[in-house]
Amino acid sequence: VSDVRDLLRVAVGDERPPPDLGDRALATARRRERRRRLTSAAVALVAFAGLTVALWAGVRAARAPGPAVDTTIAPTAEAPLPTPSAPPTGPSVTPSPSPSESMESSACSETAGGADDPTVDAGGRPSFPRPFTPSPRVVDGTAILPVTFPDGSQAELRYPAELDLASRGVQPHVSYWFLRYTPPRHPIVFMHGDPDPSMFAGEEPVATCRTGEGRVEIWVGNAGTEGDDRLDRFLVDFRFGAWTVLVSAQNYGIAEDVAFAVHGRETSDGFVQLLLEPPIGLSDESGEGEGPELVFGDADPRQCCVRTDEEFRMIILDPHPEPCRREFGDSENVGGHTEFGAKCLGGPNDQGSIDVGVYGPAEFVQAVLDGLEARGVRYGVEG
Amino acid sequence: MPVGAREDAAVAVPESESASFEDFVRAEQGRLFSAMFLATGDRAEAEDLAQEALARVYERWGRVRGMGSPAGYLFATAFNLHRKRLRRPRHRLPAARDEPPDPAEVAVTRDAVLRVLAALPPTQREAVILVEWLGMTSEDAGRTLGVDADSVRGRVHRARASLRKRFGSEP
Repeated sequence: VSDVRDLLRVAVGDERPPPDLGDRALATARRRERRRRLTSAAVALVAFAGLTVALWAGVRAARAPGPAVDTTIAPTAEAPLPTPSAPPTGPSVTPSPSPSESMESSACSETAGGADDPTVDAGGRPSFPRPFTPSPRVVDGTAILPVTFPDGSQAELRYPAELDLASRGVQPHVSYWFLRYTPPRHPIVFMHGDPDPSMFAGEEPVATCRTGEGRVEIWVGNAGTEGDDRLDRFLVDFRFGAWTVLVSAQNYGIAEDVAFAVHGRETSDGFVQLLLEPPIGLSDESGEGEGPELVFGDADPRQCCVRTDEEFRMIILDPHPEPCRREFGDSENVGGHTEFGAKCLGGPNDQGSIDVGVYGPAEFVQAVLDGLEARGVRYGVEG
Repeated sequence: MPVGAREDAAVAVPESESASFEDFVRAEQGRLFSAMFLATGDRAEAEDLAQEALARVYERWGRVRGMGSPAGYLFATAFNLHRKRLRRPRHRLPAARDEPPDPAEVAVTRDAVLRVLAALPPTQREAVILVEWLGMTSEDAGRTLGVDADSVRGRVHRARASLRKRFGSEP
């Protein structure tokens, strides 16, 4: 296969649009317009008829013979209506508590504020806390960086210190799915700090839950953020150490289930690890499967979007349960000055392997491919 | 009846605009249909989405024709419709967990490519269709999808990696 476009050409095959596609579209539009006009006319007719009947009834009542009407205002047997200035006679009324207050009254830490409080920039794009920047130790010019993936997979990365990969920040990614159904996957957003308020609709969570993980909040998500409509309607907000983990849920019932099914921790090396209980589980297929990933150089925590430096330098790590099996070819140009190269990390004695994809200028890609190694790869370690 | 011919006066689109819409349909319907076919893997669904997207564009043709990229608006509409349909229950039927690829599937067959496309996250699938199939730049695709060009590049690269992974890495 020479090219992705060739693959797509194979997929399309000889499928062609029906010759009357445009006609059918026009017919649809016209039918819809006729329906709209008919509906409008019917509504107008009903309103007119109602008004006519009301006027007729009013006129008839005015003309009907009856007892003389005293036009002065007199008290009736009915209870008087309170005047606007009259104080209420019943017990004092206080505003109803918000759902969060009614469900739980324990003292809770605020979810926003502080130096890292994100804001929406002038372009309308949410800004996020700086990505997690781990601190490798350097021995004889080699940076040694223990990493933990969201599923608990672990490895010790080693690379020439001058590559300075850690300072690019590391962004975890993974989705979850329902174990009975698997696809579709539902995104989880990891942020090293507080969430962007623009990711939520409203200023208060719709509910809070007291779980084994402490206080967990359920928010309505602002799913339209920058065209990212992959986030579901609800976002369940977990805090694990310095990490905020937003788990998206299709409806409120699922959000409640999620609140009690997700467990997590900040690991000793500063990463975040999740453990999910049935009915949900972490997606475990890399790439298109939205399985666990660590991405160096991506400052956008959402799976929809990527925010890199100007030269699009980015390193994606995908853990696998099996040892390295494939050979990777030379790096290749993927547009502009951006190259893509890949390799597999992990030795025969490791309990798994890590696929690495590197994007950026050719010299950067080559330097990472040449210099990056991993030791002690362990896939999906729990606990 | 030719595309765009007026069978009645229900839709208040002037004749000249209808004629220009006719040209627009002729120019874009093939690309639109094939893009929707790649997105859905289903001919009937692709027809339905293409027809609905064209109908919606026609209803707004007076404004859309003055846009910098009416085609971009058309594709954005079509992909929005597709995403909405993905959320419908009938499009969320339980799917069997992916099995290891059948060796026969590694061969580049139409069904195999469509299956791999279907397994891509919708955002990656849309990006690869716009960029690789329709030949849009990352910037134009970003405008169509409402994201920035970097995001489009990232999605395309991941989609390409997935396709290569399944069908072999040799260029």
